[in-house]
Amino acid sequence: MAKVLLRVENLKKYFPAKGGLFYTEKGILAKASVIHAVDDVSFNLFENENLGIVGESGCGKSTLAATILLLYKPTFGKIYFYDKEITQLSSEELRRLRPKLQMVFQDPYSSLNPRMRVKDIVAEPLSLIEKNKYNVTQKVREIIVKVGLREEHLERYPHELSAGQRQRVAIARSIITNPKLVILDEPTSALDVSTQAQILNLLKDLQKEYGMNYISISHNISVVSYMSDRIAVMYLGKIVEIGKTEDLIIRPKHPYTKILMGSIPLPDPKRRDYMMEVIGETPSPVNIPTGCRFHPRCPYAKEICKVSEPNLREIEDRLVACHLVEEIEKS
Amino acid sequence: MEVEDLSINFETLYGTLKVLNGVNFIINEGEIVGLVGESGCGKSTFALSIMGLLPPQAKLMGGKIYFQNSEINVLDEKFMEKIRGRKISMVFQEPLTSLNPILTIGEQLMEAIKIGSDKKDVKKEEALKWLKRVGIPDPERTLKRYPHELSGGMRQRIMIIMALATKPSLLIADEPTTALDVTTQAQILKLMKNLVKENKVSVLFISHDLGVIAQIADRVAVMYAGKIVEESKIFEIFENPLHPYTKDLLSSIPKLEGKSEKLPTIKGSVPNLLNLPEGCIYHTRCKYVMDNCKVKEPELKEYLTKRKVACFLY
Repeated sequence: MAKVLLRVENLKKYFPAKGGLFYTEKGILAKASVIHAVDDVSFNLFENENLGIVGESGCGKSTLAATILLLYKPTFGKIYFYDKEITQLSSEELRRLRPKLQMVFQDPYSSLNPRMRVKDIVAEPLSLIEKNKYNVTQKVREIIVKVGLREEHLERYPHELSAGQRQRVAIARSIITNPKLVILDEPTSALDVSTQAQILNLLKDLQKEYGMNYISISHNISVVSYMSDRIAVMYLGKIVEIGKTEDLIIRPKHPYTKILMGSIPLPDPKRRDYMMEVIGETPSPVNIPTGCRFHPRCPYAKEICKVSEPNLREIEDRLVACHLVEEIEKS
Repeated sequence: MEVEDLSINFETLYGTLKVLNGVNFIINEGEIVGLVGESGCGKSTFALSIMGLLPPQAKLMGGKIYFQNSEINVLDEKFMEKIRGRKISMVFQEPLTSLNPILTIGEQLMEAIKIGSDKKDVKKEEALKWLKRVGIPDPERTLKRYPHELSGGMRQRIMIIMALATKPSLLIADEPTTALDVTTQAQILKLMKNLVKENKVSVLFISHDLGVIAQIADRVAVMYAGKIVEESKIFEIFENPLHPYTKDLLSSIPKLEGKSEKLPTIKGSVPNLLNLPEGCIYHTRCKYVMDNCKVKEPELKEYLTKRKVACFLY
């Protein structure tokens, strides 16, 4: 069995809802409401494995990413990195750990400091742990070529680069400290398809060379499936299904996964009538439905789904949180 | 709608940007035509130009636009005002910025709805009918709401009503589902397809997403650096793309099933519109480039049955 690199246990992250004063529609002062952004998420990431997290906007996938890296303090739950609990670390210990855990953000326009040159942007994370300036410069030169840019780009500012080049800079910055885990939060959403293909290939090449693990987060299921060995599907702060990429895409078990996979517009006009349609919209993470979170929109919902919340349970090759999986499979 | 040889330049501080370079385009009655291309290829400028909504730095370099068999002058503001929103209407990408934030949905809908009677209750009746038709729950209450109280999918439904309520003959949809989630996108695409059939309207559907185009369009044109490089019926273009750019674009999409180790990519990047390459605009990135491509510009011409491609290979 491969070693567990990252273990997340019952992780929760709640935010107080914005506004200060809480009025209901009738104008009566109501009690403060809470956004259940991540609500009891557990999973393991093994060494040499890439995990994907998919879900629609507001499902909590980005909050989950930021909480794993302790950019947010978890409301509840534990995170282990190589069997060491990191949720209780002091800020000094955490700073020493940070180089091993990195992140690439969605928008390379806002994630790079516009007043810094590329060389300083890339060097910054390394210079926090490597005091020898010469070593830092050498490493920056090496890494900039690895991400497909040239040394001349080092003197430029972010606004002088294209979106694809900027994302390469963001990647260089995240891998310069030799991290074990890199979280890619929508790494290609701001890019055109042809640039997207270049960046995805680059990420795979870098992985072969440096051996880090990726957690890819995206609403774009084809991007996540290309990058990941296993996929977790999130709905309203919870994981509803985890399984091997191919199996999960070809034979989704949870009704939400089925609908999600069925709504992807495939570049194949012959399959246009296969598009599935779901009723209604995602409820707000402030008022979470009782029982199964998906029951108000689920075409298979029964009485039990309204009252009892299903937990992730092992079904054949994967984990699914649905009371009715066996029943649905039979029909 | 028929567009002949449309060319538009943008005058900027850095020089002249050649945004559209001789675009020929036909939208037949009752047809959904997809226009696909990467960002900066000129697809939005094309849409704005046929609406007569070009920004002041844009210069019309040449070309003719025919609408319902008569030539229209998109620069004639008085004339375009009569057409815009009535005969040609538009749905934009981001519905939050295209709705008025300080008017209720009801007020905005009633303004858009043009029916014989000016009576308020007749219009309200019509507004309610539309809201029900596009699947908005609790239409009575929605009329009193403001745009920010609705979700992205709901707002886009409102935009679609406002675009169709005037009974236009042409609807231009510029990336109407790009800001939406996949499940909402699936709902909106299905709704649009049905409404288009019911209302007998032609649609120009602009998107960067080949998947979305494959789901909705009857015919598709591929745009690259201000030119249409290929155009044909939807099934043919996805089954057997002709132009090297279309081929490259299709193969660079990661497939859902059956993983490949490496994604095919297009070498280089989109040419600078200030300084377009000589000959074929795609020759610097093309896998099949020949000597001829570097000096001569291929025209969009007919190939096989009713397909059009601008490439010397054919």
